[in-house]
Amino acid sequence: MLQFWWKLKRHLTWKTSEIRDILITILAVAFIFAYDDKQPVFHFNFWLFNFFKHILIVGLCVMIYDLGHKVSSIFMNLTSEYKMWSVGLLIGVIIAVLSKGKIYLILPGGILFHHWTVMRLGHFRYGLNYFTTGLLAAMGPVFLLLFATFFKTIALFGLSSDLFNRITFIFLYFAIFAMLPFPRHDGAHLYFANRNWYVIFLFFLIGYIFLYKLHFYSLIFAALIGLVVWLIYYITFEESAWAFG
Amino acid sequence: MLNKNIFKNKKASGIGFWDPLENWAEIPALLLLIVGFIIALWSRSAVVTYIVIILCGIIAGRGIKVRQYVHKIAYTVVIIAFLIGFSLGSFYGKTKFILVLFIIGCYIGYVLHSKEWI
Repeated sequence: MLQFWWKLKRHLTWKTSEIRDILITILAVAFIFAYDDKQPVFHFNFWLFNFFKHILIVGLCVMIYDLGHKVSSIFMNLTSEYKMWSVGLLIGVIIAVLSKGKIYLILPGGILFHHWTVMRLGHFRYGLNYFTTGLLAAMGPVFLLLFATFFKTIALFGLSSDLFNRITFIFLYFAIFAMLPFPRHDGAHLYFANRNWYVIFLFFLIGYIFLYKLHFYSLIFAALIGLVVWLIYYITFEESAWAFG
Repeated sequence: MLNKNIFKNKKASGIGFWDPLENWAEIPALLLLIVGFIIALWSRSAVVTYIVIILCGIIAGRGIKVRQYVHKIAYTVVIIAFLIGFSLGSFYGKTKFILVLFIIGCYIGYVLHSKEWI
C-alpha cells in the first residue's frame, strides 16, 4: 500500500496535451448541458451564470472520471492518458444547438494506456493486455457512479438538493455515454476485451439509473440487475456463439 | 437507345452492374445526403443553420486532414453529397452562404488539426 501511495505521489501527473483535451471536453460538455437554461425568456446574464455553474459541475465530473482511470492504472502499473474525441464533441454540440438543448449527446472520448516498463517487470502478463485495459477503462464510469451515489445521498439529506440532483444526473449521464462502444470510449475498451464483463458493467449502470427513476437508490440491487441481464445474455447469445462442438 | 441487356450482363463487371464493394463510396454518400437533409430541416432559423454548417465544416476539415493521402475522391463525394442534402433541406439559409461557411469551417478544422491544436 505504501508503494501505491508513493507511486501516486510521484506519477499522478497530467501532460499539457491532456490538460488541453480535458479543458476542451469540459467546455463542450458544459455547453451541451447548459444550452437550455429552462427559462421562458432568454437572459444572457442568467445563461452565462448557468453555463459557469455547469463548467464547475462538468469539471468535477471529468476530473473524477479521469482520476478513476489514472489511479486504477497506476495501481496496475500502467499509465493512462485522456484523449478527447473532437468529432464526437462537435456532434454533441450540433445536436444540442439543433434540439435547443433538449437532447444531450455526450461523446467525450476516452483513454489511451501506456506500458510502464519498469514497474511491470516480472509481472505475469508483462505487457498491455485487453482484459486489464478493459477493466481499467470501466473504472472511470464506476468512479462516477460511486460519486453520483454519494452526491445523491447528500441531496436526500436536503442540502442544496437541486444542485446535487443536477450533479448526480450529469455524473450518471456521462458515465452511461462513456460506456458506449464508440471510438476511444471506455465501452470500446471493455467491449473488445470481454463482452460478458461489458454487459455486466453496462447494465450495472443502467440498472442503477432504472432504480434511480423509481426512487430506489441501491448499488447492490443495481449490481444484481447487471448480473441477471448478463445471465440472460449469456444463455441467449454467448453460450451458443461459442458452441463450436 | 438504351441497351437493356447491359443490366443483365453480369459478366462485364464480375458481380453485377452495380457492385457495392467496388462502389462503396456511394453508400455513405447517400446516407450523408439524407443526414444533411434531416439536419438542415431540423434547424429552424438561418442563424442555427449557419452555426451548424460551420460546425459540420470543422468536422469535414478534420476528415480532409486525416484522409489527405487515402480515399480522397471517395471522401469528396461524401462531403458533396452531404452539402447537397443540407442545401436541399435548408429553408432558412441562403445556399451560397452555406457553401462559403462550410468552406470556412473546413479550413478552420483543417488548420486546427494540421497544427495539432486539437
